[in-house]
Parts: sequence; C-alpha cells; structure tokens
Amino acid sequence: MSAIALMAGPLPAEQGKRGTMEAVLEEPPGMDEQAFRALYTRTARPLRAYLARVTGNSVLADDLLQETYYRLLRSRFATADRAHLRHYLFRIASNLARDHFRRPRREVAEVAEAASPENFDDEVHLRSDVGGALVGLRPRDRAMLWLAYVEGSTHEEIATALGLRPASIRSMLSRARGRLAVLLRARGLGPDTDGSAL
Amino acid sequence: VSARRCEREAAVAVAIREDTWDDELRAHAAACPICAEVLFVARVLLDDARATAAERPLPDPRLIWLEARLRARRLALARAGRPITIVRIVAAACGVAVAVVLAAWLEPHIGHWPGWLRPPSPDLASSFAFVQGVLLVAASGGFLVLAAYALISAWREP
Repeated sequence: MSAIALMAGPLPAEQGKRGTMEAVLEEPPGMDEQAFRALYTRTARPLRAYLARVTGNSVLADDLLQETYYRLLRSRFATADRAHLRHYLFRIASNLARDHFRRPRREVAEVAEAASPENFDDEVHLRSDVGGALVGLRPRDRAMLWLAYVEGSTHEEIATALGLRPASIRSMLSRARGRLAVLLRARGLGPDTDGSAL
Repeated sequence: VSARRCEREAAVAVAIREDTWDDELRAHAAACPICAEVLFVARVLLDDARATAAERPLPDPRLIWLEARLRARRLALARAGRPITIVRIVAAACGVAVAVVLAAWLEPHIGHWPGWLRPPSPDLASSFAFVQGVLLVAASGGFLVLAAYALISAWREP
C-alpha cells in the first residue's frame, strides 16, 4: 500500500466487478482510486480557486486543475505528510500556470472575470472587484500573494512553487501586497478604519 | 518596523487565517501600517478564496482518475513499443545490406546489370569486393544481435 493510501485512510474496499475498459487500463503508480478521491475532495476546491485567480480565467482553471492531478498521479510522488502533498500540488499547478503564460500570446486569452452588473449581491461584488484588482498584477505576484495569505505557505515553499530565490520573496511579497492594496482601494475596497476587521 | 516590513506581519497573517488573535497582536495590527495592510489584503483574499472555492461544481474525479489511467496505459505502450521500433529499423537496414551484397555476388550470373551497380573501373573491383564483405559481415552480425535480443525478450515475457 502506498504512503498516500496510508495517509488517506484504510485500504479501499474490494473494487468488485470492474468494467471491461477499466480492466485493461493501467493503475496510475503510487495511489489507488479511493486515496485519490480523498485527496481530490480535500484539495480540489482551494486549488481551483488559486488557479482561477492566478490565470484570471475559470474555464482555464478547470483545465489546469485536471492537468495538475494527472501530473500528480504520473509523478509517483508519495508522502504521508498531507501539508507536503498539498504544497506539491500547488507547485505543479503553479508550474502549469507559468507554462501557460509563457506560451505565445495568441494562445493565452486571459479573460478577466466579467459579469453583468445586475443581480449581484455584496459578496459577488466583492469577488468581482477582487478578481479585477488581481488582474492588474502580474501572474507571479497573484500567485505569491495567494500562496502567502490564503494557503499560508512559507517563503521557502513559495520560492519552490514559483521558481524564485527564497531570499527575495519577502521584498517581492511586500511590493505585490502594496500594489494590490492600491488596486483594491481604487475599487472602493478600503481597509476598515474602525477596527471592525479585527 | 522598517519602511516596508514588520516582524509581526507573519503572525498577523496567521491570526487572520486561523482566527487566533490575542489582545496584544490586535492592538499592534491596529497601530502598525504594515500589519494593517497585511490584514486588509489577507482578509480580502481569504473572503475571495472562500467565495471562489464554493462556486460551480468541480470536474468529476472519476473522469480524472480514468483519464490518468488511460494516459499511464498509453505511456506504458509507447515505452514498450520503442525497442520494437528500433529492432525494426535495424532489421530493415540489415536486410537492405544483405540484398545489396547478394545482388553484387550474383552479378556474374546475370547478363545485364545496370551500370551504377558495377565498379567504375577494374582497379576498384577489389575494394568493391572488400566493401561487399564488410557489409555482409555487418548485416550478419546485426541479424545475430537481433535474434539474441528477440530470444531474450521472449524469455522474459510473462
């Protein structure tokens, strides 16, 4: 049994009768289906949110999400450490997003999430403003901010995921945060001044 | 607190994410402009992350799993087929070499060879025969190696 299978819980129940197609397919190395489903349930939503905000395109985010899991399954990566596995997934996703932005511009139709102004509640307004503000940053800065403040990644983990030097993360993060704060304020999302945020 | 960094900003970021404020950190975040900026940006991003994560159903994990298995299968087939392709190419080259040598050896028994198959001059006839010999030995050696490879592969086949 793989380390990931151990991490995900008990051995999968006997699969029973399998379809003809399944019977002839190779089992991806390092993980069984039940372990994969457990991992997917735990990580797919935050991973897709990350990809959606880094790429600015929710359809592309779904494609990259699936590709991220294909690559994980192919990589034979195995660890009992859930946090380590999660960071590894975000690292794959970051590489895929970076590869996407390196492709010729014709293929990269970066789409800021647009939505009609009607029928919005406050939360959707907020989301739309945040999405719009993030599009004003470079993809690398979006990824850095998301990993730091949403995922709680360390500077070393951010550097590994984004292919940067750990020593430069702190200042880059500070600059990116400052730029995002300006963009958010420009959209009327100023910080609370009455202390209610605390 | 330096111009753009504060030693407490990491603690503030953790407190926002995990809701682990204490009074002292709360007071600091209210007073420090760097930590106030961390608080502002992190809160907005966390709210956005929660909202974004909840929207739209996820792709079906079953399909991702099956596609991964298909890809693994294709990869395994491609890897398995690579030596066979190499063997085919070498076998074809050996076959061509043997055919050329045999054709040259049969030359005296056949009346009209095209000019390009004959040595250009009698002086070159001996070197032409030498090349024929080398080709024959190389092709025979190739066949022997391929035969050995085929036998070993057949032996290892489950």
